[in-house]
Amino acid sequence: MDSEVFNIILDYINIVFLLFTVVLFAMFSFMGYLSTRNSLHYKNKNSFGDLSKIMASPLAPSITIIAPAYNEGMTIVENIRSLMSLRYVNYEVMLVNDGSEDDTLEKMIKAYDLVQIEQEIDPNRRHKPIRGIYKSQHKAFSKLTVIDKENGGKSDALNTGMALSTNKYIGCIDVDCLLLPDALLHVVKSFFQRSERRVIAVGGVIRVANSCLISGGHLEEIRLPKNWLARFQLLEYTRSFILGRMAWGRIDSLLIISGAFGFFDREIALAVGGYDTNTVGEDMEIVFKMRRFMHEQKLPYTVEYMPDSLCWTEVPEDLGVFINQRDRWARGNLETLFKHKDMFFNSKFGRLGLLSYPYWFFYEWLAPLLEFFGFFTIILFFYLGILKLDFFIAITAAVYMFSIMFSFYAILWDVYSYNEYKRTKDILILMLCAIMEPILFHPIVVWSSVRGNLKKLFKVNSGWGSQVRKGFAKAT
Amino acid sequence: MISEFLFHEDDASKEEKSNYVNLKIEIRQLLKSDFNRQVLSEILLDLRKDVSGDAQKRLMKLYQDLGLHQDAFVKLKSWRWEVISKGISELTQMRVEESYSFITKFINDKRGTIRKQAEIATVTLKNEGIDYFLDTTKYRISEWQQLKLLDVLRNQEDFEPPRFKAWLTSNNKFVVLFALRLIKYYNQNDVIASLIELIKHKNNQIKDEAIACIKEFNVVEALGTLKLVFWKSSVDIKISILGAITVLGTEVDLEFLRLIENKESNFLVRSKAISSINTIAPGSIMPKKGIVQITGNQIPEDIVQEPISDTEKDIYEPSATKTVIPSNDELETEQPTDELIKGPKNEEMEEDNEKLDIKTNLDEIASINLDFLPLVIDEVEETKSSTVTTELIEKEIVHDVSEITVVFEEIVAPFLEDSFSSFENTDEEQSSLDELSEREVAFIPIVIEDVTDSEKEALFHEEELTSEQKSTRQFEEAIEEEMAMMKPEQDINIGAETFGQMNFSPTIFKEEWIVEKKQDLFDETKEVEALNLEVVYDEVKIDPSNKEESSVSDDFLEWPFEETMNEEYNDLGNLPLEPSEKSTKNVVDQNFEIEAILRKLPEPKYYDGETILTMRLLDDIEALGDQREVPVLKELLQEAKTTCVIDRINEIMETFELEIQVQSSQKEIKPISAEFKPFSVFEDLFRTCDTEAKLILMDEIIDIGDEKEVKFLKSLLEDPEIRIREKAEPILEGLQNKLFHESLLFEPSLAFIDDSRTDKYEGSFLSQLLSFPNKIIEKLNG
Repeated sequence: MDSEVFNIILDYINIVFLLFTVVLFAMFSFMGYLSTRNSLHYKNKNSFGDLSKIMASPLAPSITIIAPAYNEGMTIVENIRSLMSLRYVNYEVMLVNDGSEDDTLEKMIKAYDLVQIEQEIDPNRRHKPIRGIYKSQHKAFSKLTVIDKENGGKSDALNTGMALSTNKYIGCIDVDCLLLPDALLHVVKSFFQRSERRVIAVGGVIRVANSCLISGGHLEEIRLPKNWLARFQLLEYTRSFILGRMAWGRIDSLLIISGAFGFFDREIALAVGGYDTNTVGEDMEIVFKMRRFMHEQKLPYTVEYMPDSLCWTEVPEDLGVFINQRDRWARGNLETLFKHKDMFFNSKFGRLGLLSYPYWFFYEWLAPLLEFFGFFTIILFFYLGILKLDFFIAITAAVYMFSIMFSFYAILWDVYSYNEYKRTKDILILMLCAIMEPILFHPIVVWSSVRGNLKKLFKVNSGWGSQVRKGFAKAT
Repeated sequence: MISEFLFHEDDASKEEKSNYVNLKIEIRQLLKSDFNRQVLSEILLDLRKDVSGDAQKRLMKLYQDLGLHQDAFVKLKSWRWEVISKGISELTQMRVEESYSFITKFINDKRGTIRKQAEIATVTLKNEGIDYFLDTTKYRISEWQQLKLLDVLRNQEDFEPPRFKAWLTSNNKFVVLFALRLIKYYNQNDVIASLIELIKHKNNQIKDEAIACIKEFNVVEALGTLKLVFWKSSVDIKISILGAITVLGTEVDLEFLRLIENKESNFLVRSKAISSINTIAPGSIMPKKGIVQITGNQIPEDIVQEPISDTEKDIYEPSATKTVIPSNDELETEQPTDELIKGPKNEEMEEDNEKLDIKTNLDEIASINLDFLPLVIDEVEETKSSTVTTELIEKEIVHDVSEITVVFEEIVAPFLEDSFSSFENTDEEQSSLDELSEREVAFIPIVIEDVTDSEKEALFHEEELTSEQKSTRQFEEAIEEEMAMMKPEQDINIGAETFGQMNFSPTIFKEEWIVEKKQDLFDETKEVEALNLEVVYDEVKIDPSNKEESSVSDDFLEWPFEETMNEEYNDLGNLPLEPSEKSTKNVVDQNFEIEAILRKLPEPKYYDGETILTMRLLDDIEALGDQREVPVLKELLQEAKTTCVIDRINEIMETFELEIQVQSSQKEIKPISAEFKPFSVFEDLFRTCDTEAKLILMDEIIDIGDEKEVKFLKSLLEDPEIRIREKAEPILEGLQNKLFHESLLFEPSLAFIDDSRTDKYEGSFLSQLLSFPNKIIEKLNG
């Protein structure tokens, strides 16, 4: 009797896994299709006109780039120089020193000849106390504003910048990111091209800058990372940004804008209270909030996504740092989904509630946990002797092949659309990564995610973790 | 090959020309292939971006000479949006003007990319293209598209911008918005009225752009409308409006800006308002945060507070249980002591005859009038007060002070009464009171005479103290010990002459001041007279054998009696003005002084219990009663045994009889006619109008006038203006006739009918009967 019940349970587990896998395959295929269409559309649409012509237009909107910095003394001067050299007429770089314990502020003051200025601060905005606001005495650096504040985390630093900015749009970036000179022109175009809907946020692709040749804040040569962990991450980013987000962008259901490169309509961002300082997944949470706000206000809106390679950043090459990063992402994911749980299959939020949220719930949060659980189930089945080995190998091979195919498609599309890695060797290495990734890299990602969830479940205090930056110059 | 075409000169050699022609033939051969045409087209389009001036023109000419534009025309017929868009884009880039009419068809295409390319082409290909576009477009124009269109216009050669105000009335709000931006860019400042109207537009973008134009063109006329729309605008618009007011505003607008500063909740708007205020009137609003409040002439305590010897402290330090209540009409909180001490100030006091600078305890002052002299209040006994004179005694015999209660009530001397009453409600007093209520003023010594120069100097150093310190004890501390130890005769040398010079108003007591005193004290007190001041105070007769029963509350009697202050009391009157707290602690050393004071106190009168009760009753009768109490008073008079009671009754009866006489005289009321002379409204009107108006008004007199106008018309008969005189006569006759008829129209029946019952009798036989005489009179009148 007991064995019958046990068999029934096992059957159900099999069905659940099968169903889950089939739906996953279907969705990934559909995403491949959507992303392809969107990429083509984007390419055609943007083939007309010259962006650079309008960089000094009198109608160009004002943008503030907010870059929080914490103990970035090694690279801060170079990073600021890179931000100051963007091709756009009406922008400001606001660097928020989030209580750095190193010489970040001193280096900035020295390099850019900063002096403290008096500026009134909105007392209604919540953030850690500001210790000083600095502006450069040199006209060449007039676009630079440095805010020195007490340490409060990335979200708090971004909120401070948001409160002090008076421009129409704000860009929240990681200070160690390298923006291409035309980045702001693309951003402005994305904000301005819609006339029937308000563009509340614009996100872009994050490219991996490890091993790239960078000089004077400019990307001189794009190279494939030498570190294998970085290569795996590059493949993952390509798949995610070129296929995943492009597809979600096509159906206007994008739920996340990378914290390393995200631009927002300041009015709406402030209306929702800025970033949530109580979560480590603040980049995802703010998009949830803004979308929710617009839904509740019944205002037509959209979140734009730019597939152009505009932002380049270093990814962790150390396994421990990498696991911490993914652990944090998992916790942020869980926190955000839990905070907005009322959106789950809620038709009031349209596609957001019926499609985006469930996808994130099942395939971004639950999938790693199921994978982890499935791994132990297979071992259990094997020891119990109920594992049909031939079927298991067949289904595993199918899943594996699908995974490789999906990665190959992402590489192919990237080469076709943007062709960043022109050397054949690089493409081959990337393909090799795609073959090895499910075996070597993916289990680490799953474990990091499980660890993050366990930490959250057992309320283990864990912050952001830290990554020691090599600096672009040194990376070469 | 292409460069050969681009840089070929007309004046080239024959050989070059020959090569050029051969090259052309060769290219035409190549272009027979579609692929080659496509490649060449792409090359030329790319090359166009890299060349300018004549080379660019030649490139465009070559493009058309080779017939490549025909391919672009073909693309326009495609069904695919990207092909059509590409065709339009090629024709636009190569400035194929003949394509203008073909492309304009796409200007309202439902496919966005085609439409946008058509819009740019229309504006690019012909200078009047912008007019056509703005006239015909039905779709929204995105911000990006506006940006690109403006960029096209900016780079147009020989472009003469049309007057864009024509499109401010467009139904397409995006056209209006774009027109506004073009107006601003091309400085077309002849659209002031439209701009002012557009501030009221419901679309924030249009509103914002209109404000920007107003700011740019310095349209001062728009200020009123800007203020009008401000409160209902969004935060961004409010900031824009304030930006415009900053540029256009004057000091007249400061009130509005200050209103925003006070009422607006949004920080950014408030900040902008403050910024505007400071721009219009620099320095209007100063920084507040982090500013340390510094009061005037504040000197660190370690400098001001000189160490005081124990003796000094004993003499002058205010006792915790004593408070000198100043009695003055005017409170000069900053320099009261100076005014009293300095010679010139004293002279000023003589002139004013009523000013005494005081400092007083705020809590005490709040509940009392200030028209009295400084008193010493025993705070332990819950603000029971006395003069300092009695206080000194009290200090000496403090061990049994609660046994006896003495009540003084003093009134001002008659000759001073007027001056006090006239001063009572002056502005100075009011301001002093206001000032007093704002700060805590404990007490103040009022008069110090014969202070040596060195002493004065010591006192004036106290100016450096804070006002609060000055108002409390610093003054007393500044007086040297030896001065305090002086004999009263030396220290308080105030005779009749001095008193007259001082001329302060020390003796008004409007509130009851109770001082507990030892019973023996009253045996020693004598009735004193001031030279020129009458003191009226109460007498309390206390049975020496029953002093335990004489509690403050029971035996608190306050009927007045008059005593004339003798010369000795003059000294006494000044004594309490001295700071006394410290001296009370040295009572042993000052016995002689106290004895002198005791001798000068008025001697109290004592009554038995029955007399007290009778007197209290009489007092109540006087206060509350009138002439109707006279019989009662007569009864009391019959029963009265003591002369004081009899006197008192007689006094009250006299007062009541006097009141009766006054009332009876008032009862002779003059008739209303005597009080209010009949006054014609026309009389008033005639004072201000001209002759013509008077003549017109006179026509109205017959209709609306009554007997009041008769007299007026009679006066007009003697008017200097002949026309008025002539007209007044017939009108007077007419009015008199009218009044006569009205007098006949008196309806006697109404006099018999109660108003409230009119309805009841209406139409009844009785009413008809009563109205019968009226009907007869009407018939007689015709």
